[in-house]
Amino acid sequence: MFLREELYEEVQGDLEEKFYTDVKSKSVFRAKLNYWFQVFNYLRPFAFRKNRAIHLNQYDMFRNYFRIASRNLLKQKLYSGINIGGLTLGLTCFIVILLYVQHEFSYDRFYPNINRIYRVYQKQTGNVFMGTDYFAVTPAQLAKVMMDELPEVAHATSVQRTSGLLRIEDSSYWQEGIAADAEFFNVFKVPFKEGNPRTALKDGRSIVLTQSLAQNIFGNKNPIGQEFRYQDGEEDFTVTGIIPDPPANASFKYSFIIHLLYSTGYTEEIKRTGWSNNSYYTFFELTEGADATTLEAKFAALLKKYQLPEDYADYSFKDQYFAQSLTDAYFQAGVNFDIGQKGNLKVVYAYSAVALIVLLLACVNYMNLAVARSVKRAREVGLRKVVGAVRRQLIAQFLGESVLIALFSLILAIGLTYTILPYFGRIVERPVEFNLVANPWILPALLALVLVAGLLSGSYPALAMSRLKPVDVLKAKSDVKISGFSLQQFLIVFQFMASVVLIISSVVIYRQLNFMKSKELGYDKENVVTLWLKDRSLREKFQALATQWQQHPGVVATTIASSLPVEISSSTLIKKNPEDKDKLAVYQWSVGSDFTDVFGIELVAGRSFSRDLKSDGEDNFIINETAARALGWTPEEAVGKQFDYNNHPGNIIGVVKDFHMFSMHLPIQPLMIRFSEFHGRFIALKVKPGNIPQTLGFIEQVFKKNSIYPFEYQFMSDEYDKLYNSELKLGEIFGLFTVTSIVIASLGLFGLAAFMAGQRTKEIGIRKVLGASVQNVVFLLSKDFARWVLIAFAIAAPIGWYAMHVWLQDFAYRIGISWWIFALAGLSAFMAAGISIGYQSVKASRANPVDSLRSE
Amino acid sequence: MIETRLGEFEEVILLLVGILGEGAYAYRIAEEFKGQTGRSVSIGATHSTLDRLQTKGFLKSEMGNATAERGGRRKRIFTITALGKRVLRESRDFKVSLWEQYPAFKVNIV
Repeated sequence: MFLREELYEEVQGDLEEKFYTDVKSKSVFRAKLNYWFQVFNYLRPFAFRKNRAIHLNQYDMFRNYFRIASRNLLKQKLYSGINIGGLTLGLTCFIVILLYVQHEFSYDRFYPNINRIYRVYQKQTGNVFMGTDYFAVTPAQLAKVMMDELPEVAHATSVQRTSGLLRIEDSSYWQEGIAADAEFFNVFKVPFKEGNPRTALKDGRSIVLTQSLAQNIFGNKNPIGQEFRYQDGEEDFTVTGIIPDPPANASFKYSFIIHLLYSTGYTEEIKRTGWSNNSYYTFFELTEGADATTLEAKFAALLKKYQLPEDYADYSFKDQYFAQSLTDAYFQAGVNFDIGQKGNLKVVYAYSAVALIVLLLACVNYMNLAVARSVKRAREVGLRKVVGAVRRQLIAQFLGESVLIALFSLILAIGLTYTILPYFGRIVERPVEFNLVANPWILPALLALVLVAGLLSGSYPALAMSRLKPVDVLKAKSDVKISGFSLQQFLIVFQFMASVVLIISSVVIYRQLNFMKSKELGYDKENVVTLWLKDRSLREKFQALATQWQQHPGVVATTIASSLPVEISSSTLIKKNPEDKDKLAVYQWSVGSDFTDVFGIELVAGRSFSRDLKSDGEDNFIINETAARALGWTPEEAVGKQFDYNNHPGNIIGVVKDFHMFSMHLPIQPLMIRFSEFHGRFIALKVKPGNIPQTLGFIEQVFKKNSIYPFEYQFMSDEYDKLYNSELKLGEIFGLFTVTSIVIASLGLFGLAAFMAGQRTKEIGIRKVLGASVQNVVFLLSKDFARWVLIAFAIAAPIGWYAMHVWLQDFAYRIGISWWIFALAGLSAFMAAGISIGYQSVKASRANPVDSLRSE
Repeated sequence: MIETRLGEFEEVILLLVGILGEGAYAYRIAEEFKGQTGRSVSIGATHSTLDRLQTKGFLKSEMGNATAERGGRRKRIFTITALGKRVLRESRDFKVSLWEQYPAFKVNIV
């Protein structure tokens, strides 16, 4: 019973009286029910038993624990600082990475049916393109066929990326969007703000806007029913729905969704019977309880049915379709033409591993320092035992202390996390958020972590300390040896090992990045302004534009190309002779004249294209050295030869020097260059280095006269750097972690050295009295530490070498791991150790022996 | 600080204690409340109000006799204190004065 004792009698009396009265008038059940109703109605503050504060004897003991702990912390500011600082750093790293990992795994999970959203991608075995034979694109008809013929598929939608100009009256907006068929919102269940998801994309003239875009265009006007023109078309699209902006963890983002039928390509494609054009992404919703693997097995039959033999007569590869859940697709790298943002599991794991190591380092530090410091507290332990403390209490005391310190560090670390998170978010290019409200599990998880970290780091000191015999500690004056010295050594070795591995990794990553930045590319990426052609009509106007641009003294040369030489992304098949069976996969690049001047590509034989020769635009080609070699010719021999391209003879008029047409991950491939301004997607202008802003102004001015599209430009060198974005990020993160781990390890060593020197003051005093020099003493104190660092290095070097060797395998062009990298890593670890120990040993060895020996 | 004003429910309970006299204990008061107002109230709620009124000094209480229907347990009998009576009177006078100032009802009041 919860009742206050003095109320007990009267209340029970009242309740019983009520009960018996009720029994007379109502059923027993009702009476009983009412009885309990009345009982619960007594659950009021006034009626509760007051919990008197019980004054325990232990209370004073606990207060004493706190007092001693805080005194200890304050008395030894250096140790406390090192301890808390190190742990804070470690925890911060850990929290930041935890948030990052959490963000990475949260992608697309906001769709209510995420467990049933899948996509189709295919493998064209042997058709290697950009280093992989997987493709994310599928035929336009696939979605409908899947819905009609596969019972496992509830809804399927065809999707394409589109970016274009939304025009309304006189204003126009350049936006990134999605073109999709009517099933889109059945697969991706988006909560509509306005409009009906079932009918929003019913016909080919509808468009759905995100809230922010609608707000941007219409302000507070009702956007439903407003009409747009898209690109330079003359047809009107009606706004049929408003949806919320895709959240930060949406793998593909868009600001509008337009019906696929806007494009004539799609309209014609879905009418065809055969499947030979892979240009659309297919997403589908599995029916509840259906199994994706049984569905996957049915793809082969579909392919057999719909891939018409006449389309595939000349096709030597075997296609295979796969179904993949949307969440897995986010981490799927190495699929050509893939849609949306991609995560990298390897990177996620690498970061997590490093974060764990740093946290472990911090814990180790704590353990190390606590063991060292505990000697000073041996007498406290002894006294506590004499007064009657049992071992369990002492363990609890020391564990409690370390948990408290860890808690304190956690508070600091949370503060620090808030400060560095925006910076970290920029590095990893993810909007990582520290939102305790949205992720209520984070705080308990962190508390649990701190508990574990505190217990872990406090466990050894607690166990060692509580084992001390009071007689020993209280009898002897000071020379208490705590066992576990070997453990300390081990811990230091571990710390420096981790640091050395991280240093090696950072240096190798940095060197590889530098190598890629400075390597002779075969083209000149500097001072090239590139305009991505949003406005397709500019292709026809290109000549006129080029002539105008050339009038400016700052413009050296102008060309148009299907892609930038930074990354050439189109391929085809050729034969050496028409009758050959074997085909050669070559990459193709369509360029305008002057491309050699703009990109600084060198011709080794033959000539470049000329606009005046009609044949150049038809079947004259330039190839690269690799292609010449693949066809069995030297560059000089190749000029004038013919090869077979789509059953037409292709004349080789020139050979260019090999240039890096992909990122350094991939080797240079055979390349065929054709003269076709109509395939242009980029305009590139070589400009003079001086006064670029003025030149750009002129370029923009000419552009604006010819196009309603917004003017945006990129420097080709920036486009080049984008290729190595992920490596750049990796380098930065590893650099950060390396510094952190070295700082933590050095802090630990510094503290430990201070302690060791303090332990040996008397020994040093005697040595000095007997004639030892300062150098002798410094050597004496440092040599142990030096040995540990050496051992650490010996273990770390092969680990670092192996890890980096594996990492470098991803690059077709890579640096060798030279010995000096190890030397550098070893040396810097040594230096860090040297600085931390040196200060303490010099201080100890210069002390006047009188001070340390006087008291004897 | 002890609140010394009287709420509506408190006022009714206080009056009921006065009406019931010797028989004023929690269960009885709750029953009487239901009988007089038609609103049902739990014993607990009544008891907590009684307790509150006692803290305010409007009521005092002592343990009374045991009766058979309560399993031989004694009841706590509440009685109004002088302060309680004064507060009741003040409350009535205040309301009457308000009524008198309200022209539409002036006639009916006496």
